[in-house]
Amino acid sequence: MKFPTLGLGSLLHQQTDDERRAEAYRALMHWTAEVGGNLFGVVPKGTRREFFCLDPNTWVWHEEWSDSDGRHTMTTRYDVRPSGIVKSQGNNVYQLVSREEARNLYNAIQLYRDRVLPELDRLRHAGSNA
Amino acid sequence: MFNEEPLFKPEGYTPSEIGAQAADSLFNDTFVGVDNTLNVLLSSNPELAGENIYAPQYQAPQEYAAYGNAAPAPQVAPQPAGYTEAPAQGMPQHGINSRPAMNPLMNQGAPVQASLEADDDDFLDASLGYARAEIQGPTQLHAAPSAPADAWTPPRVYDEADYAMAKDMRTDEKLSMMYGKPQPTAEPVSQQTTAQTAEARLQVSRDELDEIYEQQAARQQQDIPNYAQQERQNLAKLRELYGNRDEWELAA
Repeated sequence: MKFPTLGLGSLLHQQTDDERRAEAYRALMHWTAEVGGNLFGVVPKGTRREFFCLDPNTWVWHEEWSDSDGRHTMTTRYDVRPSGIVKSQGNNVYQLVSREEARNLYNAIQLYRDRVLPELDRLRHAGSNA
Repeated sequence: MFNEEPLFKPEGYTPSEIGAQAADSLFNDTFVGVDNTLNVLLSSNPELAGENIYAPQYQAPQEYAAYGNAAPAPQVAPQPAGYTEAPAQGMPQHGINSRPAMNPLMNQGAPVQASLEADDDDFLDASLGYARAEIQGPTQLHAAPSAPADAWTPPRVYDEADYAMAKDMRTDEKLSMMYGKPQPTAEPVSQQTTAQTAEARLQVSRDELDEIYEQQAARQQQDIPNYAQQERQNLAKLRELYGNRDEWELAA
């Protein structure tokens, strides 16, 4: 029985493409996170604020800030479930978002869509035409 | 809506087929995520159908026409320049506890005008340590939408099986990709604290040992007189029985 062989050159080329694709995806996601973080107004100096769609069922609010107690990091995950949105903040404790928070999330996602999707749409077509 | 469209401009970036594939993948994830989330929010909060203070500007490509939220953009009242919201005082806001800004002018340092609005939610917000700000401005910003509620496409059916399949390890992996390994939520114990704790435990042990030694010493102090008294009693009995020892020897 003969097994198909895969040339090393093509394997390396494939890995390189995967790595480049992952790197591009990561860079794009960081860009979307930055755009999302600026939707909520002035980000205080020394604060890193990001808001983005991690995957079709998850939104992330990430904030890093400093105060007299030192540097802090808080990552809030919004899990989209059929029954509603629940959020967790790193301790595996989930809670339903409040009515007010749901409204803010709803408005923020619309803004996020309007700012992020057109650029991603442009990039996917611009790149494919390159 | 915005004076400046955000553009993806990393240094050295040139459009490529690989980059296009990555953008296409992220576009698909984001589009489905937006659509899915808005539908879930609408189904669980029907009153949000009246929220159209933000005018969707983006028209989805034709291949996504099946998704409802790409459709009719509601007309919205003009937005005043400088509309912004006061940042929370004190504790940083974690998560979507403040409304998104309506105008990017606020990112250029526009003046802030805000006041607290008392309503039923304030008590909850205050109890959670959040400061909630409401805008003093034209009331039409919060007016009812001009687009009818039925302009929204009913939420798609989305069952738990879909959710369970989609919600796999990829989420944690992608988060790690963005921010590294997740950090423990508890504050790390410093070396100094650890040393102090160990010292405290050692001190307790020393104290306990001291107490034991003191109790033993006290018993010994009590025992010495007891032994002496017992000895004297025993000698007295012997004398009664056998007389004086010197007399025994002489008798012998």
